[in-house]
Amino acid sequence: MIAPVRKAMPRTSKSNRFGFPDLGIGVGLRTVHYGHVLEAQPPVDWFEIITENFIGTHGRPVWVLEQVAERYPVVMHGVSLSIGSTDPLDFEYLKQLKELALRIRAPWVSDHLCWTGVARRNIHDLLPLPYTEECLRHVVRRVRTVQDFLERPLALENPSSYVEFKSSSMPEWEFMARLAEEADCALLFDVNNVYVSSFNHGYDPLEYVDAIPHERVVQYHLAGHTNHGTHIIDSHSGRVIDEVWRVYERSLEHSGGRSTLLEWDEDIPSFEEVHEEALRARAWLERARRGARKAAHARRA
Amino acid sequence: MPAARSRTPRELDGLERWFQAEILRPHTRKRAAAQPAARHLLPSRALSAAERIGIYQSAYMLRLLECMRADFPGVHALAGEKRFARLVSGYLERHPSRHWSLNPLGKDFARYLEREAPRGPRIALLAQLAQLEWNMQVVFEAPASESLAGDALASIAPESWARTRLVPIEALRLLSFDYRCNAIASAVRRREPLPPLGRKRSFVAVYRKEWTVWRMDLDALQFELLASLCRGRTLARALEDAAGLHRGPQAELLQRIQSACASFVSEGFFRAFR
Repeated sequence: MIAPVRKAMPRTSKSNRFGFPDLGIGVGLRTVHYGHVLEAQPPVDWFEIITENFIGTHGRPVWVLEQVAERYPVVMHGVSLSIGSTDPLDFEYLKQLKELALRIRAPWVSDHLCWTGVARRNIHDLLPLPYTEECLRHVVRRVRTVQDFLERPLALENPSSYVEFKSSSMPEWEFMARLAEEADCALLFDVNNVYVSSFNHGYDPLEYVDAIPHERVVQYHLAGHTNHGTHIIDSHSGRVIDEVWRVYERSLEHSGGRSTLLEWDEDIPSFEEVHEEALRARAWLERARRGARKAAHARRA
Repeated sequence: MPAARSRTPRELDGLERWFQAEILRPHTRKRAAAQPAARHLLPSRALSAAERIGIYQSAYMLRLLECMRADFPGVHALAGEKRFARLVSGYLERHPSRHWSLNPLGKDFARYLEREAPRGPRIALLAQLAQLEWNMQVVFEAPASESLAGDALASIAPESWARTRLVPIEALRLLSFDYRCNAIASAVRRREPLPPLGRKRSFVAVYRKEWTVWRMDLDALQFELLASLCRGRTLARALEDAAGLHRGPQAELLQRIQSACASFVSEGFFRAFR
């Protein structure tokens, strides 16, 4: 059994409509860093876990999570909800997810706008959806069902994708914005994914950023990627490139700052290097927070 | 009365089924595309529709192969890269993943190698090695339980000793093989030369202690003793079962059994006695 979380939660942010706290700058909790995190207890604001690594198992990862959750806020990020699939929702999976979220007192839970398989098969990939009215109605209905079941808002992450469907009738940003409004869900805004997809599909990433309802953004993802020249793969490897920082900066101008997390999943370096890369977000975050404070002050005046 | 409107989004359903079939197509024996990619997908500035879906096609097998390599390093090393990839591809076609987690992906791999895979060199050995490596995964994931202390057996009253049954921890598996599977698995993991690959009966206990998975080589008597205890037999009955395998003086048998029981308890194989 996981002990109750004893650390103090950061102040609740008034700037996202869900009242989720601004946790600061976090990193993904990865197996190669378990030993370091437990022994050194590094000064990280918060951790994000891949949900599926900790449900349906009783091994060391769960024991590690118990220790980590006693010291740090831990947010759950899933890859298997398959919110866009036409297969039925897996309520056994959702039940385990809900139990874990309660046990570790996860400030929020998130997954991706994607599907992972159909006809009872799992491809174990975050597959793209066509942005159609029919698909929007389907996903809205399922997000509402999931939120009712979990009894908490769900944050959905914008995907990175390598194909565009001919049948799409709206851009991804419009689909995300309408989904968030109609399903009343939160957004996990992955600025690297915006950049990757904009490169792959040939659109302006800043147009995407400007169209997102930032009051629904509760978290950012930053990451590196692999540029193959003809296309970019969202590999979560290497450092965050300048173009992605610019997308982040633009989004912060809208949001005034939110919990930000760096993902690094391929060729993972030492924990210190990952954390150092994540902390590069601090300069942009602080500038955005100062800007938000000034704006609030000006409004009051 | 109007007919109830179906909540299944038909166009989306059709598109997802096509997309999934297209991802899997290069990895199945049925290679012909039902519909060309260009019918559903746009090209990009640099890639055709078919090349774009090709990114998902290659990522699918790369991801699952990586997972299987991590779970079955011994089978991978013995089979070699190309044969391992062919075996995994055949396995996934027969036993597609239906679970939300990748953890159970290899659960039927040993059985597939034993009964369904194309016959080839050392396929029986590969199947048994897969069985050992899969059980290491099972033990890694098993629920935790507190083991009996090393001196716990001493607290059993002499008159109740024969009737006592020991309860094994959940993170313990007993396996018997026709090959030196444990020695092969160890050599692969330590990057050492492989032991002889010919047939040789072997026994191993796979267990978890302090969150680490361990393997203990057993002889036939130790295996029989432990297997009897794990089946819930009394200590007296388990000793009888094991004694049948001993050829030699009675005193030596007693010593072997005492030593085996001491190491089983000290390694934490049991969580209770009753």
